[in-house]
Amino acid sequence: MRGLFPTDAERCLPIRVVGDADDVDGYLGGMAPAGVGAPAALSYFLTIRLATDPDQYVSIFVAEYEALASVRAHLNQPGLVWFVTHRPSPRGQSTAQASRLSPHGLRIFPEGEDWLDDGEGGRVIRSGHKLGGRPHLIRETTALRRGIETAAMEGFSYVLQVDFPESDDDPVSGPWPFGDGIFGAFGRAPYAAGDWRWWWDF
Amino acid sequence: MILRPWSAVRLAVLALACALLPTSAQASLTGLGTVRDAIPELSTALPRELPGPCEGELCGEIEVPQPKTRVRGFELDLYCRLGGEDGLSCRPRQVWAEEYGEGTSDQSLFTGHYFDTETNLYYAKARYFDPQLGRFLSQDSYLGELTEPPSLHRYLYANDNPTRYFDPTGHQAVSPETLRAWEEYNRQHPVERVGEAAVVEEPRSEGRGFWSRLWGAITNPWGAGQEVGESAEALAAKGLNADAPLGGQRATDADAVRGMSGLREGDAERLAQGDRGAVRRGVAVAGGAGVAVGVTAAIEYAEGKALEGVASLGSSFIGRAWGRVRGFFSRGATAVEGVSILRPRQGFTSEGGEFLDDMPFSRGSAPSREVIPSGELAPGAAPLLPGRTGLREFDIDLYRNFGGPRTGDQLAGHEMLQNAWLKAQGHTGRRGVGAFSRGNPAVALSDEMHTRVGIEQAKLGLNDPSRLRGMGAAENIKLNAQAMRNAGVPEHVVQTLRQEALKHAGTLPN
Repeated sequence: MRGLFPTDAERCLPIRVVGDADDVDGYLGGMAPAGVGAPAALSYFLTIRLATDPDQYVSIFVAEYEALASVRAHLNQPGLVWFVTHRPSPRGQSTAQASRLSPHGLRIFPEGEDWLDDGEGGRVIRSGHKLGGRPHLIRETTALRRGIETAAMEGFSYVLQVDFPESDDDPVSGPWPFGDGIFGAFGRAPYAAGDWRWWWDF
Repeated sequence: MILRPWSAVRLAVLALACALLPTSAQASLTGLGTVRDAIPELSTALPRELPGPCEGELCGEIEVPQPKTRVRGFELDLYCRLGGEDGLSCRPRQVWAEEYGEGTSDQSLFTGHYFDTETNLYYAKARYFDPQLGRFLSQDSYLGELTEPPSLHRYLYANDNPTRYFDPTGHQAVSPETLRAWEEYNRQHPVERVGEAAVVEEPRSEGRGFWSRLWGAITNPWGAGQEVGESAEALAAKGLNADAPLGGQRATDADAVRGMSGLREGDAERLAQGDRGAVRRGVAVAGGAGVAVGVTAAIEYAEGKALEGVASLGSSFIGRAWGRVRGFFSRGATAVEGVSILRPRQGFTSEGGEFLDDMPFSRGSAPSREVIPSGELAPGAAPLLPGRTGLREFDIDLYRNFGGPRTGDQLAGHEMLQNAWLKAQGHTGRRGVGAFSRGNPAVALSDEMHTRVGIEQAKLGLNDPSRLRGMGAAENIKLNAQAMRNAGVPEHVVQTLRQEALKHAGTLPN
């Protein structure tokens, strides 16, 4: 299996929310892919292509906002956010864990720098949705910094970042599970249920 | 004919009035003292001692409040009529603000406090004052003093004696003498400034506070239901509640009673249902009662029965206090532009734009305050160690300044005009990119408070992208202010950040 995200942490694959279609690289909101589930208390969030040869996707399920709020700005183990790695699957019909977000597709764009011009002569780590790169930390708390350093030593890489939708994204409606903030996931091969760490902040 | 001060019509009427009035009255039209002569209705209510000689634009005019001055929820106007034996007669007229269909701009009016047209409340820094209820909406954290019974009533404004006392902080009624002591302390201990400080909002005290106060004392009939010093039994006989309707506290003596009978049974429910008319017709709203003290006192003063409060209205207040309170009626926020930090203050802004932190609760003593060490805030300072910060919680700075050298301060920068809204509207492509995102004012919040604010935002639907797309900046700011309020962010911080956010929103392209 070959991970999609660049091995160079200064490079990333931007992602955009698009209309729900067949030729997309993932889903956001709506119903989870057929045959993909998580602990019952969690709701579907998104699915994104993770690797090729063979194709692998990761679907992410999340807890209610107030529960997530309690672990904000920390690097967390799976629990309130659940990761399921699976083969390609169309959207399912079950509403049991359906997202409260409207259904959309996700499209991965060509690799680019993980830096953004901040518009004032400096540069910042890319915010927004992306595969790979480094986390755009809204606030580098001591706890989060230590968690990331530990994860790096344990072989985790920054796999996915999903930010609050932007004006270029397909219009999303419904309560964003991470407030109006950013969600990020670290992962390591073989991307089993325990091979993930995640953070969020706003 | 309804006259607007300073209008050409009004000037013409005044000229005609000069022709019609007796010679003695004409001569006196050059100064404020003429009002008593020109408007018989006011003659028993105006103080005997008037504020000095004719100056500036007062000359040649009958001095009345600005048109549509808002006092305790009313608009004031002067209704004049020509003809009849008196030649010119004018009566103050008050109407509800809503009748003008205005009220879109915020104003600092009665008592100098800030009137928020969104909520129809006065922002008295530590607390909100509801002019319809005549009460603060929350209890004072200052418990009061046994030797001053009115201070034990934790919903009253200025000991229910607004002609005598001020309440610059929302915590404590202060007399002009106390204020003078604070001013003296302030002169002896100048605030150390950081960078080039500039007052965000110029103090707005000239004229309006006084005239609003005086005019309200003269004209407000809503306090007619009670008299100074009535007992609880007397109030009960009138069908008024002796119990405080909001706090359930009982009167402690006659002085306190007079401010505690504001509402009849069921009026709280009527107000909640929006039926203010039913309440205002028959009830002495406690706020009105405060003014009623002034009305009653003014009349008694005119009859030679001077009360302390009235004397202060006439001479002490005007002659001594007025000059000293200039500049004190401001919103208590000062921008330190050199380092761009805005530190909301609960204290008043004294003359010169300096500010003080929390007022002490011991009367007559000098206020405490904290001097900001300039080294901590200087731009380009060395990176801070983890856990150390140049910011304190609730300080306000631009979003761009919450990273970098302030890493480790453990305080989050939280914007009132959501970055998510900026993104949804296309004002910024990414968080932390571009002047609109990086220049967005944000308040430093602790982790716990930030979490609470986020939860309140979610309850108000502020994490719904489609909702943000269809929302204007003002609405976004308003809802986020509410979220912060619900989370427990101090009101003076909310108000200061709100003003900064509105200013920032004003820079956005249409």
